[in-house]
Parts: sequence; structure tokens; C-alpha cells
Amino acid sequence: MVPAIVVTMLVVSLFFGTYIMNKRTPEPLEAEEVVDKESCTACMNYSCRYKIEETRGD
Amino acid sequence: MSPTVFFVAIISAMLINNVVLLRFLGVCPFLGVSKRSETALGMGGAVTFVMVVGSVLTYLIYYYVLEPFEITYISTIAFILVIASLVQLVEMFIKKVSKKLYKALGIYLPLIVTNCAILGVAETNIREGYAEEFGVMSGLGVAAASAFGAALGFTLVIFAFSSIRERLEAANVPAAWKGIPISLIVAGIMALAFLGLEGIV
Repeated sequence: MVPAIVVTMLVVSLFFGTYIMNKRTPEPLEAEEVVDKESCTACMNYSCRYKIEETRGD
Repeated sequence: MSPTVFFVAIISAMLINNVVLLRFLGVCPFLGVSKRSETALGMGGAVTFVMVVGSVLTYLIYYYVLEPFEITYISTIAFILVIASLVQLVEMFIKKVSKKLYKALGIYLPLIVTNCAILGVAETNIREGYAEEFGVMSGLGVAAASAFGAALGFTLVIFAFSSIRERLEAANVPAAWKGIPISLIVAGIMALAFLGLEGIV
């Protein structure tokens, strides 16, 4: 049971660490307007940050 | 080990056990990112990279961490988090290193985090028992080849589907069938066509 808890904690920490690092990394200026709204509206993936922005806009 | 094993693993994963049309994994990006050929190819490229690297990582974690400690029952949650972390790292790396590549792949990377095809292929590589059949390290090569084949199959199908959808936009389709309904019918016909490839290897 202990190894399972340790490994789970490790992978959870790994995910949150990489998530925070990724959020703090600025996007390249040239890539700001790369979302093609027409071609990505059919997917209902709510984990996609562009989908979240679209929902907030409503 | 014979190179034929790798060839068979790639062809089998790409055509005979196609992740989208025969195992119904990764259907969300298949329908959502297939309106244009360019976006379909971008998604295919991003999935190929993450699927191969993710499969190798999860395979190593399973056989060198989970199995020795007899905690294989947490494999699914460990795989999900490792794949999600990998996607975050890849996105961060691309942001820093290549603006051009970020422009090409960046918008597809968040979609890959919840792409069940990636997790499905990682789980399948474990369940196929490559480590028991070829040994852990040789099995890793076969698992990577299988993941590469599955990713090629995903790219092939999503690109073919996007090409058909582009032509459908100009076709005279009954109003009730326009959009998603005709796309689902086309996907069904494509799945039937892929069933015909069963038994070639």
C-alpha cells in the first residue's frame, strides 16, 4: 500500500509541477492568433483551453 | 529479433487494429479536428510524437516501477498523469525552442492530454505481453513500433477523413444530413472498408 501511495503522489506532483511550469512559460508572440475557430468548434473537449475561453465568452 | 516483428507490429497497429475505426479510440479529435487537411495533419503529427514517447515511458514505468513493487493496479492513473505531464513538457519545450513548431502543433497539444487513443495504446502495449514474449528491453522496441503504427493509422484515417469532408462541403448533400450526420455515415463506411483488411498479416 505504501509504494502505491508514494508512486501516486510522485506522479501527481510531476503533473502539477509540469502544469505550473508550462503555464508560466510565455507563448511566442507570433503564435497568438493560431486558433482556427471554424475547425475546432466541433470537439467538445472541455480540457482544451480554447474551449474554456469560448465558454467563458458566452 | 527479426525485423519482420517490427514490420508486423506497425502494419497490424496501423491497418488491422486501427485505433479510430476499429477500436473507437480518439474519436473526439477525429471528428473535431478533421474539417481541414492541414489541421488534420498537424494533429496527426502531434499525436504521433506523444503516442510513441508516451508508450515508451509508460512501458518503462510499468516494468521497472509498478511491477517490482506489485502495484500494477494503479497503472491507469499513473499512465494518465505521466502522459499529461509529458504533454505539458512537450508544449513548454516547443514554446521555448521553436515558435514555428508551436504555431503548427501548439493548439493540438491540449487536445492530446485527454485523447484516449494515447492511453489506449499504452495499455494495449502492456496487455499484449511483449515483455513476456521478447524480454523487457526487446519488448520495448516492439511496443514503440506498435505505438508508431497506431499513430500512423490515426494520422492516415484523420487525413483521409478530412479530405472527404472537404469534398463533402461542395457536394449536394440533403439538408438533414449536412455536417455531422453525413460525417458519421462516412466514418462508418470507412470502418467497414478497414474491416476488409483483417487477416492480411
